[in-house]
Amino acid sequence: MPGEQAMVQRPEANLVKQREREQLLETLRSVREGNERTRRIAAIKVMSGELRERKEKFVKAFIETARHFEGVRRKNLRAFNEGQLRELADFLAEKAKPWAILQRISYPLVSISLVSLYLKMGFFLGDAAFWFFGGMGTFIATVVLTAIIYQADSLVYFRCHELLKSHSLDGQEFFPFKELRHELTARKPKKIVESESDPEG
Amino acid sequence: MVYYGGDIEGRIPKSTNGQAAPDQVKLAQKDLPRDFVDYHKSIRRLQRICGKIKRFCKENASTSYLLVMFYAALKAQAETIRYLNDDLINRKIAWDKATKLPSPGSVVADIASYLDWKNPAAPREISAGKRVSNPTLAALLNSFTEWAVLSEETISCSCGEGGFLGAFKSRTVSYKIMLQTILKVDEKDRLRIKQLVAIRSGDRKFLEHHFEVKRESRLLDDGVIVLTAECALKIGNAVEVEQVFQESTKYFELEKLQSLVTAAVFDWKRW
Repeated sequence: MPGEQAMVQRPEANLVKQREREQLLETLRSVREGNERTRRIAAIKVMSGELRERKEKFVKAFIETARHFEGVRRKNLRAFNEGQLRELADFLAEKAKPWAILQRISYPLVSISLVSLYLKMGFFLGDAAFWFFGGMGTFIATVVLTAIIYQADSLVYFRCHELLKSHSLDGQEFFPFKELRHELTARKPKKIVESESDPEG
Repeated sequence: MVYYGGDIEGRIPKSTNGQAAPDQVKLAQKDLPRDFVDYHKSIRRLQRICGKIKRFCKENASTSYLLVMFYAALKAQAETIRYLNDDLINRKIAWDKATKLPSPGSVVADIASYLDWKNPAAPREISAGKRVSNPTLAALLNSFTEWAVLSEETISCSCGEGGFLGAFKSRTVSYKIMLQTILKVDEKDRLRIKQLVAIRSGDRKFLEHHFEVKRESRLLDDGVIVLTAECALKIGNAVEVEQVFQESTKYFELEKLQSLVTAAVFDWKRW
């Protein structure tokens, strides 16, 4: 093809103007973004006290969820660097989405439900629901209840993660790394074992 | 336009028996459109012309940017002549008798050589860790030889979106800005510099709606011509420039192009 030169980094000269309509759309978009940013800054200022609580909750839920989902314990987490912890936070948030949990637990439950329906039998939580709601009701009730009971920690984690992310500016500092590091490195207070025999007595 | 008939290469026409007739020799030398000038002398002449053009451009800021491009072409030619010739091996340079400028063919050929041996787009180390390059200048010079890519850009555009909601949606369109510069001699013995600027994009709707140009490039199947500029140049004791023709679309930034060309050529110290 004509005009194809060797690969060189060319500066952008912006020689083509936008049409008036597009300029207007750009202006509107930047105004909207500016307003949204101002609103979020105000909201963050107002909710800064609440954010601190959320961060604490997030840290606890993060440690629990990491243990529950990935089998990573507190002492293992200490060896992780900042980048790994941030990535793990995002990874766990993906896994902790309610629909992701439902999807994971639905496969065995579907098979159990089908077998139980085939045998005209209910199973643990489904016994009562089977008579009240019928077969499908049993299935749905079982799935939802199991999800809530077994994944309570991860749901808390997911909620905290989303809230912190929604209150971060330009995607910065939603992850409370300092708090997490402090929590991980804090030593548990040693139990004071009182000696049974009084040395003086 | 003048058609230069006869032997372009400057060979002496031969008679029927194969011997050069004395009258024919004289006639041929007189009628030849070109002089063949020694390389030392050519370099001096080119430097003088470049100096005149530069002075003229500084005094007349509103002059055509095509003159600046021609300055770059002559500068590159002078550098190439200096690089390729020495006292042992050298060649003569073809100068146009009518315009008193290097012949367009020799200018283009020397620019092609210049881009070969000293491409300004290639980063050059000027000191430890500091590298410079001038891809804009390389594109401008390359435009004398073929369609050259000046820059690759993107724009947020809502052109060509059909339907009710189309006008409110914008999308990112990428395109290339391409240049071609043509040199020729006219009937009034002036050098004509003609430049075509085309926008090339795979997004046909963007091209049709944004530029509202009916003229499409014959060579670039996915491009439209957005600027056609032509000027006539005569350099004697003074520089005379006449803007012959200029047509640009509404949404093309001609002033930006002018300042880009001027900055790329006059601010570059490493010819």
